[in-house]
Amino acid sequence: METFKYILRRVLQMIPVFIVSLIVIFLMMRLLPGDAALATLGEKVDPKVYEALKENMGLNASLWDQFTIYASNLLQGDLGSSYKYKMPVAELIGSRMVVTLCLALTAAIITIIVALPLGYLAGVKKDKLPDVLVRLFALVGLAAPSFWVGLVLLITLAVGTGLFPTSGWGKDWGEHLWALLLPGFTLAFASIAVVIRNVRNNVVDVRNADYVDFGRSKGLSSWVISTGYVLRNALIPTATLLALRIIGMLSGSVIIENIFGLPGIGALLVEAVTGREYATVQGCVMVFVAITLIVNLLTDILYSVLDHRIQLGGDRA
Amino acid sequence: MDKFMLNRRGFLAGAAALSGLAAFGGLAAPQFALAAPQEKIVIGRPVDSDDLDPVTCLGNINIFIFNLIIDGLVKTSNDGSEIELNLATGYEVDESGTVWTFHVQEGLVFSDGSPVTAEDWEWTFTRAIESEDSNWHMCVENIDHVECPDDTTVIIYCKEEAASTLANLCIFTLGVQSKAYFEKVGADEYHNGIIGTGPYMVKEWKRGEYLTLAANPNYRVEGQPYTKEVEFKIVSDDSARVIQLQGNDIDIATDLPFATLMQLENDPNITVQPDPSTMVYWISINTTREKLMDRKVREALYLATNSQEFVDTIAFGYATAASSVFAPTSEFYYGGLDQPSGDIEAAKKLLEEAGVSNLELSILIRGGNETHKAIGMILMKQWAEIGVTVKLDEREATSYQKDRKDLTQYDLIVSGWSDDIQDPSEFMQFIFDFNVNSGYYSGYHQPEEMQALNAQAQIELDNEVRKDLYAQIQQGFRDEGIYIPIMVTPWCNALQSGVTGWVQTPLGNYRFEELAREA
Repeated sequence: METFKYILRRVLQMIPVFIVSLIVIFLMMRLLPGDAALATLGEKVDPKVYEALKENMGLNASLWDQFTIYASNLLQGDLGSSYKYKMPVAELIGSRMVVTLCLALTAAIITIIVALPLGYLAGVKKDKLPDVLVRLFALVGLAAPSFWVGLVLLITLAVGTGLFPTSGWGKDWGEHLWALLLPGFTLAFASIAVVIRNVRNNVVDVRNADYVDFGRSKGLSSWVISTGYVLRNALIPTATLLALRIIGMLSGSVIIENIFGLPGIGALLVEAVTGREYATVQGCVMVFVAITLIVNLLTDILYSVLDHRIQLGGDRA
Repeated sequence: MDKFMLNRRGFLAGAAALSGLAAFGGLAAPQFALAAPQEKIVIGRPVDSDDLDPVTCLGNINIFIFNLIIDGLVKTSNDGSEIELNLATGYEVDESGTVWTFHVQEGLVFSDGSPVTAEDWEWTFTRAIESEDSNWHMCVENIDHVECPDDTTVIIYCKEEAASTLANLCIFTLGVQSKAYFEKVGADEYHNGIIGTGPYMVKEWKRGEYLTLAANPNYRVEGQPYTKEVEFKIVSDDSARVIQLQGNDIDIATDLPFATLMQLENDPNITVQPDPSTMVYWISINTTREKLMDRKVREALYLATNSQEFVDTIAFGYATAASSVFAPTSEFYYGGLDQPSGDIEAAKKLLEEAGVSNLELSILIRGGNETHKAIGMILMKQWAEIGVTVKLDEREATSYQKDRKDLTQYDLIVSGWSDDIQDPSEFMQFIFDFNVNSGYYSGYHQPEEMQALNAQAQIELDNEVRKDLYAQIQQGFRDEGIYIPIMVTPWCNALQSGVTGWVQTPLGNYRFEELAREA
């Protein structure tokens, strides 16, 4: 019950955060120098069309009027339309967001699958050969720019080999999954390095903790010590880190999307900001804010799963 | 109305009739050269189209593909040098020069098999002229209305006689489209694809990923197009596009940076194809700035500029040094001007005569545009030799777009132009109509003599006289010293060596009727 109340309270707290975020992005877009109508029309502008478009886009109205129209439409579920793409923003974001979410999810799964065992291995074999090799791998991961990793993977595993698609994201879920593996690994590469180091350090710390020695002295098996004592406790700070990395993956996917030709939201958002597509930027940011809030909530819930001493909504930890 | 005119118009009409007969009588493509053409050709391009409605669309990324889907009465030739008949078999012009009667091929059908009717022609023209959402009115604003007494006659009533009428009729907004299809799908869905008479039709468009065109089964030329499907695949990253081309994952890569062209030259399987374009870069000098009002100062800047260095440094030799704001591919280009060649001594002398020293100038450049930035940096270096300090004022793309319309914001600006039609009238309107773009960012009001030359060039029907008028105009720009020509850049494409029939006209339009690659 306490947990339910906690989640409900957190969800309610999200509402004002969400509203403030919307107001901030609405104002920020309009504070940017430049002219949305000019940006839409491009290089060769017919003055009559320019004036008509300004009117049509509502740019001649006061800021307050623009906001009330936007807010009123939003309450009715209308995110507006993209003047560049000539389609509703909800539809535009919906089609792109799926790709970016799947890419981030794939990258997160790859990060977990690769980083946790390697980080744990490095931690338990501290200063031995496996530790040195894993740390070296992590160092490469941190140093290698993602566009370079992407291009290397593209050259070695996709172009000319037919093993993986060189771009696009396919037509069905099987193809989507296959198409996401290389970009997912590219996006995960830097995160893997960070998480490995984090897990390793946590494992080293936890292994030296008194309660682990106590467990050993009780004659618990090394499996129980490893999973129930060391790994479980080492993962609590890692969960926070992982959540932050996933949020970063969503917004930082633009380079990967460009290299692998994925029709994700990263490139769309950059184009929309440059082109002063107010409705599209507001829509994208709204989705990002929602995802960030949800991921943070899930992370908090995960804490209580990893460590039963942490009770959501309770006064004690 | 039936009177034939013996000048450019008459010549074109004659040529038109001949080529019309050829097209109409034979309707057969030249013998196909490849034994087994590849079914599909994949073209990697950096950006996706965003609107396939020719009337409402903006930007080259949409415009360039319309020649594949729709056809107009006339079209520019593949080399951009002249205007040819397309769906018309001939035409006549009345005495006043304002009523143009076009005879259209009989039996034309759209890609969906429905016949092209008088109603389709009237609707296409009327929509292009009257649509409030169109940014292309400039090319059709001289058309008053259109009447089609039958399915094979299109009578165009112009507001006044103009030399650019034929060229304007090549604009993509006037390519005949199916009215019935528009009414069936509605204006919103029409942005996703149209029905025309071109060699291809839209098969599938997955926005942000690919646009697939399929061969029009009802295309009027038997045996064409050679390739059954053309896919425009979006590969935004330049390096990825090159890698995919080298890995044979795509057949053609477009919009490549100059440096990659040089890199691809060494690949025996790739043909680097810098196709001639009408894209000219120049520096516009803001003549409303006190320090730049003196003609001698502007001339000194012109003389101190060495345009060849831009070609060598920025374009690795793939561009050509410009001597005019007109591209050499234009029929009206005047070749009698010298390109800026870096005469430092003469430039210093002129500055001295003008009593100017320690001149500091800011140049407005588009943020994120590497060509703009490189032009600014080379100018900085070149003009330092005459004691002029150049400050790069790089502004984010949208701010740049707005600020360049404000003459208080800059001393110099990197400008450029590429034609949409094969006639300079559209371009000249940008320069001569001060209210449109402040003398194309120079702040210079063209004097009466120049205005008169331009006005005459707009209506002169004798092509030779017209060429002379535009030569005088280009000489005038040079004498005024308001523009410093930099370079003319090509369309930077690279193809697999087995690809044949690739055509990108100087205006940028793709023509793929004979595009093929051996399987």
